Amino acid sequence: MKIRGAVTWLGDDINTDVLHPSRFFSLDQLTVRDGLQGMDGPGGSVDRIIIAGRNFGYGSSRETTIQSLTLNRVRAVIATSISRIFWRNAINAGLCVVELPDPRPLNGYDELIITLPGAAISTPDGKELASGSPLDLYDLSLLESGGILPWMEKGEPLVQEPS
Amino acid sequence: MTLTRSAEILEQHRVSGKAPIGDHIAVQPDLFLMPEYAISLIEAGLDALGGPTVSPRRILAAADHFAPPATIERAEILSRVEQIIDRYGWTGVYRRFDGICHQLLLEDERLTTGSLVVGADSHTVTAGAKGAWAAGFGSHDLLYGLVRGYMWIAAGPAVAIVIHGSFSASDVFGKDIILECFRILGANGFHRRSIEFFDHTDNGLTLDQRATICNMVVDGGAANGLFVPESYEPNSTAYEQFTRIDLGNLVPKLACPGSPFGINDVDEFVGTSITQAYLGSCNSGRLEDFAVAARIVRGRTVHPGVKAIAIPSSRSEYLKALDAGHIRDLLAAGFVIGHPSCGPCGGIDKGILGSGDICIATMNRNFQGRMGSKDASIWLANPAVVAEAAITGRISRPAAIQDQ
Repeated sequence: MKIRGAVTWLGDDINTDVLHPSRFFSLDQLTVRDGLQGMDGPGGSVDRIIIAGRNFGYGSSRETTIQSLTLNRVRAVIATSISRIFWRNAINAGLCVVELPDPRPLNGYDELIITLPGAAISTPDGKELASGSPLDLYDLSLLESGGILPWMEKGEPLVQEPS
Repeated sequence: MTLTRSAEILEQHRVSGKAPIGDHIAVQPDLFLMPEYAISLIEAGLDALGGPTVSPRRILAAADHFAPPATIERAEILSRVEQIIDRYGWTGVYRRFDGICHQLLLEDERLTTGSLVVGADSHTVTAGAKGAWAAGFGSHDLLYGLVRGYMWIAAGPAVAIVIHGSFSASDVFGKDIILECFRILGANGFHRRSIEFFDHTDNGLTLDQRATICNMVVDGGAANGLFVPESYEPNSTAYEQFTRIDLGNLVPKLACPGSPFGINDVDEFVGTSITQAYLGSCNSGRLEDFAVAARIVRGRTVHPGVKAIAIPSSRSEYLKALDAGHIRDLLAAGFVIGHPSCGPCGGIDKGILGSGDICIATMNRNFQGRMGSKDASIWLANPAVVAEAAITGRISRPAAIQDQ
């Protein structure tokens, strides 16, 4: 499984209140989409990969934060540390999450590809840059299905055990 | 190897016959905690999957974030949620406007030592005060659990914190214990950990203090935090890290604006002006918090430059504070009393900060923009420091607090 996207750098301590303030909590998808903060404009026209530092996604369990990312075509987050609740919410929504001790150098590239399950990070022309934390079999199975709802609907299939 | 208490509780709730998936094991939660906003996000999914199979006896639902609703959309979301409550037969376990769900859970007799609690709100960790393994999840994790009856959970490493001695200062509380934990452990010490507290204090910590402590572990990034039963001894081989906190050395702490890890002594910031003081939230809006704040403000007047707001964490705590005279003391001093709810914490309801506001609060989060404007700042402190700041308009330590 490969995830490709343009790089967006967001820095350290991007918690859920900073990323998507609660006033954008809504059942209206446009309100949720346009509440995403710190990105270059709403409703992105290209797939993106967020690169961030430590303590990404700390705070609220509001799933509207994750919705705002997927609605803006964010396909993955690579960060030094990602909160446990954010991590689970991301996987449940089919959003790839990778922890990497120092993702800053990745900010120097326009576009990246993440290859699962090993979380190998490379450029589109195949230059290998880093390897993030490999995904657990549970997380991988949900991601391959596109999230927890499709996973349930497909009868909860497990992917091949990573070798 | 001896198990940590968190691992032991997970093991006790393991579903037999289900092999682990990677690091995740299938566990059957005793209780599902569902605030209204979280329920609203899974209506379609629940209906599509045929609805919950879990008995309402294992559910606690609450209207606490939009309590009562302040906008048309929130009123309409609440109406939809109440239709779901009716549809799935949750009426008997639904609490409308009775307080913050985490406090309602602490008051619920179904919660006991060793319970496994999952909640669709990060501060579900509060239930660790009663010895439960309790953690926050997103709505769709809860949806899975409500439909299947079990959930897939991966246990992380655990950290032991032994609290001993007795408070030597009258203005030090549970809040200062957890802020001290933030100072000692830092973000790496909390990340995905189970934080296990051993109460070896001379007089024992009260449930209110324990709730304040456990409530905030998630803000450090922990999975859960709990108080270990008295009969358990901390076994150093089971824990990744082992820390002791002596209450005798503890002084009032502050989390400086922006991050819960920016911990300093109140003494270092004495004189800092504030424009708002907030006593409340699922962290510290209980009877003991109101009692200490009332003693400090009694016979005094809120500073003219300060908007002072107090919100009891539940209807029951409100009634107790009313009967004890604390609400009268706060009102007479110039506080506004809000209805039990999440209030301005989370930037949801009355008490929102504008640009330039400086708030001192008993809350658990001081993130930029948490209470409204991203150009406001939030200091976190114990209820005595917050009450004193409401009166003086500045951060300081209160004079010795008398029992009555």
